[in-house]
Amino acid sequence: MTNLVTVLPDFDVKPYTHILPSLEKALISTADLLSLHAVDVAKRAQIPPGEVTKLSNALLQSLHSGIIGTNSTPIELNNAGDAADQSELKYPSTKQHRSISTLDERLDSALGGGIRPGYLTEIVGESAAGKTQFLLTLLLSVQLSPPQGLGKSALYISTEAPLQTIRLAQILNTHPGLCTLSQQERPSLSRIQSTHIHDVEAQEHILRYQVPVALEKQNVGLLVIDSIAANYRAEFDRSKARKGAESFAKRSNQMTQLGALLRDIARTYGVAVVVANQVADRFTTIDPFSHAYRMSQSTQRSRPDSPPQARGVRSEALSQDVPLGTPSLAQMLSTDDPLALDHQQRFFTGWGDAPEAVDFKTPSLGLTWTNQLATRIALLKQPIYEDRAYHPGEDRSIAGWNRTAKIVFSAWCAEKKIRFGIWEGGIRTHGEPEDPGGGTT
Amino acid sequence: MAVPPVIDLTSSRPAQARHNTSSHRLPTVSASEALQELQDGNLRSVSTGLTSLDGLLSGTGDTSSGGLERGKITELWGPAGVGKTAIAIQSAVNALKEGSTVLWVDCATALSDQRIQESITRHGSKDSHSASDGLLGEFKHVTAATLSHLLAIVLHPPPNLIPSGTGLLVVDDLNVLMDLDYPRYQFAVSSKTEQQKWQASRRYAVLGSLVSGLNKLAVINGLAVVVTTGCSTRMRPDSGLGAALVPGVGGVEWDGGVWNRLVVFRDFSGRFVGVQKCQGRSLISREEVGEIGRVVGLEVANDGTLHERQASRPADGATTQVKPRASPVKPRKRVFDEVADSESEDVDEYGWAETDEDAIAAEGLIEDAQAATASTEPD
Repeated sequence: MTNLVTVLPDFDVKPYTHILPSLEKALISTADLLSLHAVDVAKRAQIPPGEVTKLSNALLQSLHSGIIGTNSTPIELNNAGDAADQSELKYPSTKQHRSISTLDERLDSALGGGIRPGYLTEIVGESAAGKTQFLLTLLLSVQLSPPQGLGKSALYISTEAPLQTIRLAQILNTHPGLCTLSQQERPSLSRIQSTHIHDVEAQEHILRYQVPVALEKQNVGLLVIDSIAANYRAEFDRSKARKGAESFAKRSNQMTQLGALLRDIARTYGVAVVVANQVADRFTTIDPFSHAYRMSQSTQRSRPDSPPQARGVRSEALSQDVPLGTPSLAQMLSTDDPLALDHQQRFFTGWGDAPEAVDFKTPSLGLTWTNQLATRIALLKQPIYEDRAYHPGEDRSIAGWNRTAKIVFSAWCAEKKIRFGIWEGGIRTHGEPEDPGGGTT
Repeated sequence: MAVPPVIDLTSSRPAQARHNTSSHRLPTVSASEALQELQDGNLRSVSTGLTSLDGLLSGTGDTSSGGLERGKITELWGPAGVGKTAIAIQSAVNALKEGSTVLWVDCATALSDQRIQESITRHGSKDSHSASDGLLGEFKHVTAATLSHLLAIVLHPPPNLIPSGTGLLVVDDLNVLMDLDYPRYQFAVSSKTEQQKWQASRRYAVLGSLVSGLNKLAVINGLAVVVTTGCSTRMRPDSGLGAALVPGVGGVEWDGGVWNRLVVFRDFSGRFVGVQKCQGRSLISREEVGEIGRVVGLEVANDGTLHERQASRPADGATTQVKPRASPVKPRKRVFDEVADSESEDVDEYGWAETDEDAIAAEGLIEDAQAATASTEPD
């Protein structure tokens, strides 16, 4: 069966080895077996229906006992006979509500304590936005005993630059929350394992087979992948020669599999999986806020398959549909195409959720990857230009950066944004967390 | 002589059958009995916590008894972080408050225990602590690691997983699980074997089985089902607009089995819920991708709950009053008969649009009437 190994790794296949190859050849998956009648499966794979039924029942038995109950009282699924299965709750639940601190009080409070284990979290931003600084801090803080950390070690997987050990040492020696600790409590570089992955095939193998072993042996609490997009970049460039649709389909499937693998790791071993992601520029059409532009476009903007006066008709139709005394839609919605990808992207990428925003970035790997995440933290930066007289044609010189950390969406905390800066001790926030949307970032 | 006892053949025993907790027998209820109980209207819909939305879902505008209808499936879709899970949590707490049990199935991201605990505590703040704990005990939370696990729950439910008195079943983030086993985008391989073609068709067939299984669970147990899913994109080449978001799971079989479909989306002024399908009828046309249907505005309170946006509330001073504008994407080349007369002409100013249409219609009528009178004249 095509995916039996991933669905039920511990399933005993010995009694069924005579029918599995036929099922494999007929491309029948575990889900097919459960949703089709035994007779149909038997006809497809040309095996006796009785055997199919036996296999289905055995599968169901295993699946039922594998359904994880995350309540304090284990769900009694089987009858009294299967007490052995019930007592082992294989998967540690996330209910302890422990977090990995970011070593900054305000950022921790915005995150509801810090980064949570058991979830897949993404830190996304341009180059030199502060992603690596953030991750290095987490590599140290996970080693602290609760409530600040988990008292466990960390595993760092790099795909571009190797682990910056000098910077780690600097943070360790400068941050007031770390350098004042005693020798026993202090995090150490020796509790950070690191490895480098060069390409996608190696990544698949390492993540699926070697990382789980390392997580258990080293009592790891944090898995960092810096960055997740780098290995796929080369892939996408190479595949330009092939048809666009096919490579898009393949990439989409890779993202789904990768997301599932990382979520599985997070849930099974109770670790926080934090990945860094890069961004690409996002272009939208010119700003349509100018009145002159809107006037000139008024007769052309309508969809070709509706009459030219569609714009007027459409907004009327919208307001007619609004029931129960809610204000006219025209006042609430800013566009007549609210489900356009371009528009909605403003709110789940991290860039563009203020109407005046102009500089849009998009996290790499697309919408499919975004669907895999539990939490996305975007690190935005805007240049501060020197305020002086410039010669005509001279580029403005950059005096510094306005950095903002934005919790774009999260499974465990509210959306917030907060200004921060980078110093020797890592990341330091300025000002209190605000609600996002509004302002120019 | 003793009168033989009358054997009452018509006595239905749905209650007894369902409360049969013997572990040897599966508690069964005949489908007709279950349907009868549903139609008797004894079971209330589960409120979403949003009054107008409840009213829209009831189909009659009745806000007090509307909401997530029992025996039916409601689909909630939208992009990440928009509030689908939040609405599902609110509905779950409402179901718990009414004394029902809730079964929550995670498909991708685990529901944070703290989140559900805080929601329950918030609602029961007037009651004692033990009441909140009691409610929490009625909240059953499981994780389906793969689609096979979910199918095992839905198509072959273990006997004690859905006890009687369950009011709500939530399946959170279904599309992620579907995409793993049956990718949404298939390779366009030119020469496919028969098996590969069959396998490519399985996604929609399995979705059909899943929706049938969920409907069956809903009717037999008298509970409401909420399925949340993320989104995918679809190009709109015909209308010349860019890509739009569409639900992550679809297909004829799935769409046919869903009773209500709600889209949750965002805008600068806040979040919205659009009712795209309600009471089994679609409120948007099938071809229209990007239509939102009837809309309710939402706002997020400080404690994370979603409330309906009040009509009387003026726009926040912080957010600028954004004037509605059409999508900035330029449409494709116009068909020949739609060239604008002049660049500076503002159609709305003169109201020619409406009067033109009326005039054309009126002319048609007049012509028809004339033809009719002409034909009937020579009598």
